[in-house]
Amino acid sequence: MAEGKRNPEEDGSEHVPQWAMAIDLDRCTGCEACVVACSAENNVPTAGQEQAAMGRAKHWIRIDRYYEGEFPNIKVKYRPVLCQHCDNAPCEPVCPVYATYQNAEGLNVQIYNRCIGTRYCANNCPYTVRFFDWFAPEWDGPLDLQLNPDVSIRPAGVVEKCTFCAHRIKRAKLDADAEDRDLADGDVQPACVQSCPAEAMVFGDMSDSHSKVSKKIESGRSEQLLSELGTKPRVYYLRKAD
Amino acid sequence: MLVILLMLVALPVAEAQQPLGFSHSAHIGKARMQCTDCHVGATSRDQAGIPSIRKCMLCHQFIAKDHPEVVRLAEYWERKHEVPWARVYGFKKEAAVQFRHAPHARAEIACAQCHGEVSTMTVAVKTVRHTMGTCIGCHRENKASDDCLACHF
Ligand code: HEC
Ligand code: HEC
Ligand code: HEC
Ligand code: HEC
Ligand code: HEC
Repeated sequence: MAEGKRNPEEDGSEHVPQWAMAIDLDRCTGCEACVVACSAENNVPTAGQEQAAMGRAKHWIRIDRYYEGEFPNIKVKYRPVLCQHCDNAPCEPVCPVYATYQNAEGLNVQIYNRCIGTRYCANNCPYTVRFFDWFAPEWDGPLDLQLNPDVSIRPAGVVEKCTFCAHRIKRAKLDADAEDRDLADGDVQPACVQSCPAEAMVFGDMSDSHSKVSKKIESGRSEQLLSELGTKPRVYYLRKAD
Repeated sequence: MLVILLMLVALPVAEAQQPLGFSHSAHIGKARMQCTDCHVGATSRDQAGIPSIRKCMLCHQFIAKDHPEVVRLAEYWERKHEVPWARVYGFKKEAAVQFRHAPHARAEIACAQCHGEVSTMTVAVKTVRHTMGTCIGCHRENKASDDCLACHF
């Protein structure tokens, strides 16, 4: 297995990508295409009116709205919020069974079958992007026929959240392997990034200084959400300083 | 009580009950077929795939038409039905396992290592047990990934 390593480093070891996302708030129009794409891609069920009213709706990505000024001189700003894949994640140390951890590529991983549903992680997440499955998911036919086989259906009693579309990362790697080539910048596109009509979102390897995402992060316009908490998110928000 | 006891004794040797007396050895021995002629994804995709009855009938419209099992095969064909093969390998849904065939073929791991000598079997019989331990054991031996996310997502 020594041969055929992907993107070898100078010492011959395999390059381990460091996944990150940049979201340009000056481009986001709040259209919520990413929210719809995410739910379809990741088999996220709708909760229904009643459950949603009890705060049990699941959205791996959501659009936060901020209003500035008084009507009619009102300005609305949008911010897509998803799991921030923190390098220093508050959700991880509180899990008693290590069901959530950061992997070598910087993804904050949730292992559903390891999860025992304490919900400590969800309570400790300052971004409130973790969701508890109160019930086994159901889809009215024929919606059950469009489920994505690459993403496991979560049973009742576990916590779920954005994976940065880890299954797409895996698919891109397998495709690259099959074609005997390295992963190129842009090969991996999470569903939200792919569906954004304003191209506000960029995903990639931030350890590669030539990648689009690195350039966005280094653009001087980037900031991290609640950075004062020291969570070191992998999601960077871009906007013109005001 | 006795019935339950008998069931418990009988379970470990029970094979998947297939609707048709298919024979792997006949097709690999006599028909000289390769695994991937029928399981087309086994080396290139996530899932190996079970062949459609269309593929069977490419040959069996002409070959061994009088064999009683082929006659039964033709009956499914007449009714425009697929053969309802029972699954042999697989994991329960709650285990949230995402197996991928392609990377194993790339690593040149033989089908037999994970499925036994299917070429000598009639219908496939589960001869190799796959647990998380056996997967990770081989992964560690071969410096493949043992990150939970490699198999669970
Ligand atoms: C003529 C087509 C054909 C060929 C060639 C063939 N198979 Fe099969 N295979 C089938 C059919 C049909 C089934 C479903 C019935 C059964 O389980 O035996 C099956 C089932 C299987 C299963 C069990 C699938 C499950 O449900 O989990 C395995 C494993 C398998 N085959 C492996 C092999 C291997 C390895 C080879 C090559 C040595 C091979 N097959 C060649 C047609 C074929
Ligand atoms: C490439 C041609 C070919 C294809 C495709 C093929 N077969 Fe066959 N099959 C044969 C040959 C050759 C024999 C052996 C005939 C003999 O024994 O004389 C055979 C034998 C059989 C027999 C008789 C079993 C026995 O013990 O001899 C059955 C049943 C059968 N095939 C079912 C299937 C099914 C089901 C499929 C589809 C999954 C299939 N075949 C696909 C060529 C084919
Ligand atoms: C590393 C072990 C491993 C190797 C090597 C392997 N398989 Fe499998 N195979 C599995 C496991 C595990 C499953 C069950 C996967 C599941 O249900 O998610 C499976 C399932 C199957 C199935 C059932 C249906 C499907 O679509 O997946 C067939 C057919 C099959 N394998 C054929 C093959 C053939 C042919 C080869 C050789 C080219 C092969 N396998 C190599 C482990 C392996
Ligand atoms: C006989 C040895 C062996 C067994 C058994 C085995 N694997 Fe693998 N597997 C490998 C090797 C070697 C690779 C690495 C291929 C590479 O790096 O190109 C691999 C790669 C993989 C990959 C892709 C790795 C990645 O990082 O994306 C997955 C997924 C996987 N195996 C799942 C499983 C599962 C699930 C099982 C148990 C059902 C299993 N494997 C059993 C040897 C094995
Ligand atoms: C190489 C693949 C592989 C890796 C890596 C892996 N698992 Fe598994 N895991 C499996 C398979 C296959 C099963 C299903 C075993 C079975 O059905 O007997 C499983 C089953 C489980 C189960 C039991 C689920 C159930 O309901 O029976 C838990 C819990 C689990 N894994 C957690 C983990 C954790 C935590 C990690 C990381 C430390 C991990 N797994 C890494 C392949 C893997």
